[in-house]
Amino acid sequence: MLAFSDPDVIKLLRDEYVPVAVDDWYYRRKRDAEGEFFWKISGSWGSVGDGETRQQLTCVTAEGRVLSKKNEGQFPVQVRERLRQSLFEFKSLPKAERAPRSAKVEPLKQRDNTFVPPKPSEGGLILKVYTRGLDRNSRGELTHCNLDREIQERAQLNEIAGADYYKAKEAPQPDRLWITQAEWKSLVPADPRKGASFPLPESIVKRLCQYHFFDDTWGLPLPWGDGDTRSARMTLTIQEVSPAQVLLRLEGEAVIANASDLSKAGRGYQPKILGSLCYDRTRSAFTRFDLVAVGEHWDNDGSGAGRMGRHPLGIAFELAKGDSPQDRLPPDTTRGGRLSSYLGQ
Amino acid sequence: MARLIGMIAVVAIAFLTCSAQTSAQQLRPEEFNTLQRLIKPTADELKWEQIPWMTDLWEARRKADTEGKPIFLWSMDGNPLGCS
Repeated sequence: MLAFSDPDVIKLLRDEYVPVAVDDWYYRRKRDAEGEFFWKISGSWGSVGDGETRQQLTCVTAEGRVLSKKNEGQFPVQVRERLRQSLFEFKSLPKAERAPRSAKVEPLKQRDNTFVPPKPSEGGLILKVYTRGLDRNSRGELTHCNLDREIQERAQLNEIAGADYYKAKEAPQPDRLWITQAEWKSLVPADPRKGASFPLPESIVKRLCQYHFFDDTWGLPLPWGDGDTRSARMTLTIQEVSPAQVLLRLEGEAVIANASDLSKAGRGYQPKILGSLCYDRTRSAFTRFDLVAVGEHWDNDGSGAGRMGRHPLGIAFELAKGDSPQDRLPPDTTRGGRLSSYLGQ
Repeated sequence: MARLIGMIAVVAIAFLTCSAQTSAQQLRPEEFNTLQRLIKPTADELKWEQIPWMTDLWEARRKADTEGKPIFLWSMDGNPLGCS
């Protein structure tokens, strides 16, 4: 998100453009007017086909005239100049081509629902997920990760991307966790008693371990394999009960690795987990669902989507309002038809 | 007897060391807020959310047509808003 944190880029996109972000895995497969429009403006970088990605930044009119197109992954100065130049070209078009309603775009009559991102289930919870690489300072305290060493190594390899590209990976990676209505309703006993403890439902434990407990700070993640969760324990304990609310604490740990012998596993994660939940009894709803998972992560075989080597990794979860487009995106690991497995259905 | 006492002492020390290390590795409730703040994005890291991103291309096209503005399309293998 380096370029899109630039104040000039933000202002241009907010004031002069209609910015839209899409997952081209779905869009290059859609067989409707929207898919046709996507193909028309994205063109091809290589051979045409469902397998070819269309990763790019495109400035285009509503009619479909491409003003500029560039492979994505650009730095702030390049994005800024491209936006300015494309805006100049847009404003240079005849008025008839750019005036409001000149393209006469009508609502989509028929949508190909075969390839659309899944939507959150009715009544379910959406949690924002943030995964951040960590380091330890000389006092052993956890800090934000510093990738200067990795950047130096890549500079020596003459990698094209550059320092800024890798520095951006020090920022946390966002994702979403979905919990169904049936699942969250099962978390609060009908007659809650202070001090009572019970395990977190197996379906949620499995989802956390297999679909969220990994380092995805450097790329698109794949879930862990079915047998990779070697052990997992997550326990809820009721801390306080009042007519208004029930406070619960979650505590646990997990071991996830791509081999049963951890000394031989090329990749793994051993987090400790802590959580703080608040159930509002008057509204029959959770008003807080915060979790953190912190532990050692290692990737020595390149099979993951994160930082190589052994480092601490932190993952934080918090309740989302669910009213923004990014809140309603599906969890990253549900792509490619994995929603049923994700939900354990 | 001395050998037995020595063996017990070794086992006791090992147990205490492991316990201390295990205890040190457990997350304490009082650490929760600090850890949460450490992991979550800073205000600087959330600036991109100031952009009014849409996630539906056809609706973005309709909005651009209605308002007389160009579209900025960011397409990626994986939704760009869902990853950093």
